[in-house]
Amino acid sequence: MAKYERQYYNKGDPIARNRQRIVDPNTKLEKLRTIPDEGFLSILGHRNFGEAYKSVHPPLSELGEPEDPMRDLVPPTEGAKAGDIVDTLVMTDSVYDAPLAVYLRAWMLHNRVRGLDTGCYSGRNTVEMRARDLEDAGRMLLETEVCDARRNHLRQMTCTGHSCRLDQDGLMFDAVRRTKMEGTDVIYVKNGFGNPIDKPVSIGKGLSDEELKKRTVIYRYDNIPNLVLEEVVNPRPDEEVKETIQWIRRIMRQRLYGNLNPELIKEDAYENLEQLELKPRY
Amino acid sequence: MAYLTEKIDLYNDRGQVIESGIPLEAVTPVQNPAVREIADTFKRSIAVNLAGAQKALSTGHYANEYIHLPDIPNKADLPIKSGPYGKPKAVRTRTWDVPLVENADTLAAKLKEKLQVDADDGTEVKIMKKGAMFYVKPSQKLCTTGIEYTTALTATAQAMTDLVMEEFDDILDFHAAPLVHTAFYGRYPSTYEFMGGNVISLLAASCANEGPGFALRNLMVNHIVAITRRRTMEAMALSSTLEAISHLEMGDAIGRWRRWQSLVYAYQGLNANNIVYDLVKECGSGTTGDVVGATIGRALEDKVIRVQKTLPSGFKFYTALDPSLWNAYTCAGTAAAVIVNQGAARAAQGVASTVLYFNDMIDHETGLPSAGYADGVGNGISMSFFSHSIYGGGSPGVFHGNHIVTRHSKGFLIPCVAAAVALDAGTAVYGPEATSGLVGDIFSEIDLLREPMESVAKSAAEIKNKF
Repeated sequence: MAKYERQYYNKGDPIARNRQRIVDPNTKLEKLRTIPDEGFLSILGHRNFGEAYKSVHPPLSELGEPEDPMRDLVPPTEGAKAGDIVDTLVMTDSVYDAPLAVYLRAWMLHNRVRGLDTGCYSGRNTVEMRARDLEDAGRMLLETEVCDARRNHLRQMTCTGHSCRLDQDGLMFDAVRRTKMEGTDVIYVKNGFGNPIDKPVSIGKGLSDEELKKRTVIYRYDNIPNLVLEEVVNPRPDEEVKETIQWIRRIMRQRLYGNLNPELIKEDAYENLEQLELKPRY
Repeated sequence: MAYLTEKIDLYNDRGQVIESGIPLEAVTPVQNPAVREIADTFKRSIAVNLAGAQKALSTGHYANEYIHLPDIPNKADLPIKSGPYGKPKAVRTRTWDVPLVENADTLAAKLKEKLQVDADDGTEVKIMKKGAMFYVKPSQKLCTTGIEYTTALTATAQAMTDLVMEEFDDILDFHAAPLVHTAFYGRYPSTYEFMGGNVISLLAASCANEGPGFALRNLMVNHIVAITRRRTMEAMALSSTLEAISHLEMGDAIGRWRRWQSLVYAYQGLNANNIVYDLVKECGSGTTGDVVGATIGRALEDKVIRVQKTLPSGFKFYTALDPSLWNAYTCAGTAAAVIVNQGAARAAQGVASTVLYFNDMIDHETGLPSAGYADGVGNGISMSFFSHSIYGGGSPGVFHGNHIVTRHSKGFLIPCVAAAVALDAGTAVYGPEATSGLVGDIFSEIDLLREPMESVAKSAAEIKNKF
């Protein structure tokens, strides 16, 4: 049988297509900027430029791994081989048409990166990996199209308050003022932890508001009205949109009914499930 | 009553078939003799830390805790060892040099005598680590007379207290009895658990269980990993076996859930039909996302799911031809994803993240519910919180099934955690070496516990013709 080809995400509307592009590892992300090593390390704030990686255990070759067939099947990453410590990178995204959103980051990373630990909490996405793997992943997160200079920032701490506010120049609000605008360029003047850095790092200029609207992965009433307020704004959404919404509801419904009875979701029970829904009189 | 007669093949962790054509019924905890023996071993296995008891008696440092002393005026004059924050933590009490380790041979023989109920009733007392430890296994007759699992521990602890008082009556006087009791029992009965005791059971005191049937789930993942000597799939198998027994005990594997639960155990824990191995082999150099694709591919190939309808954009919805089997496939996929992702990092901490996003992606890829019908998603997210951030910092190794965030998984989460911890190369503060060295030393000698996949498969083959 032919290998199963993943669908990743539905392609029903422009925003879903943007999401699909990002989570699909077969799509090469467009590189927008190159941050020099020194600048990248200084805003990450874990080690100085030229400093060796800190390690938590000896390299695997010295450590000697126990006999285990699974270890033979799964090669360790470079960072794991060297015994690097596990470092953290926290990214945060504005809700104003950012090209990447918090929860989607986790999906994207799990599809594109090996050996990671990631979680989403309160408007931020934390990525924890072996130090040198983290730097590779960090470059992808900061240098490619998934990072807009004004709307996606690296903030190791104090993300709070970012999402709903924009400064007058369109820059995402930051309580610690890590970033500022110089002309059209966005400059990091502090590292992720909020400590001032010697040489401010420019990450170039952000996309225009029109371009952001095209690239965004966030459903907002002002970009795709018929999805958010399906029945209020657009009483008759097209077939695909309708079905996509039904699809999400179907997952939730199957979770619920499956947990009542494992066989309830069998084959064509999808139609039968409709009958199980609460009658209006309840 | 109807037997689960569908046939499965059981494979080992090298992808070689151990036994084929096994009816599913033969691996269920109720029927499989090896599984029952594993439960019995856990119930009856006791370690006595003789060196620990000797040290407690000779230093006055009992039960890993100093005796707390109130703030008294002349405390500076007392032989008090100050604890953190400048508070007095310990008072030196009476001490005795009792040569327990030197007399280990005599003590072992007398302990056996005390525990035996009949001659040759199967009571075992093994001297380990040059007399520093005993491995004690009281007889089945003694341990199954009561209806709880505590007899082994209480009988051994009481026998040791009694024995030491009796044997060393030239050194210890009448007033030493409570402290000898503390040296073996720990702080019990001041605490409801046997806190810091030198008679150690793998199972916690029954009042420490979250609810009915949690006894075998209340076993730290680090212990399981140490027992199986860090062998990933064996650790998963042992953990899954304990979960399977517990779920039976909790009333979760009855009626319509019986097949569902048995399939989870077979496919995730025992590598039935080689699914976990195949998925890891196929995606070993890949990502969690690759395992999502491979799992769905395998389910389609084995006709567990099929396409239900295609949207105008070409997006397909799937439907399950056999929902219980589909659930078992996703559980196997979850385990494979953890092995792939955490194996790549050789760090256990991401297990919750992998469980969460693997299951979430499989939900949205197919439109079908994922492992545990979305329990996996819930467990993943809550375990992420409890193993990271501000909500507390246990590394995955100290988790067990008797925990507020893991107890809702129907037998598939803790095996994944065990796999991740087994693959960890030493990033965790509380790794198996730190918490479970002793347990590992003692119990990894038992083949049944160290290689449960083989034991369960062999014993299933023996009874397969009954169903």
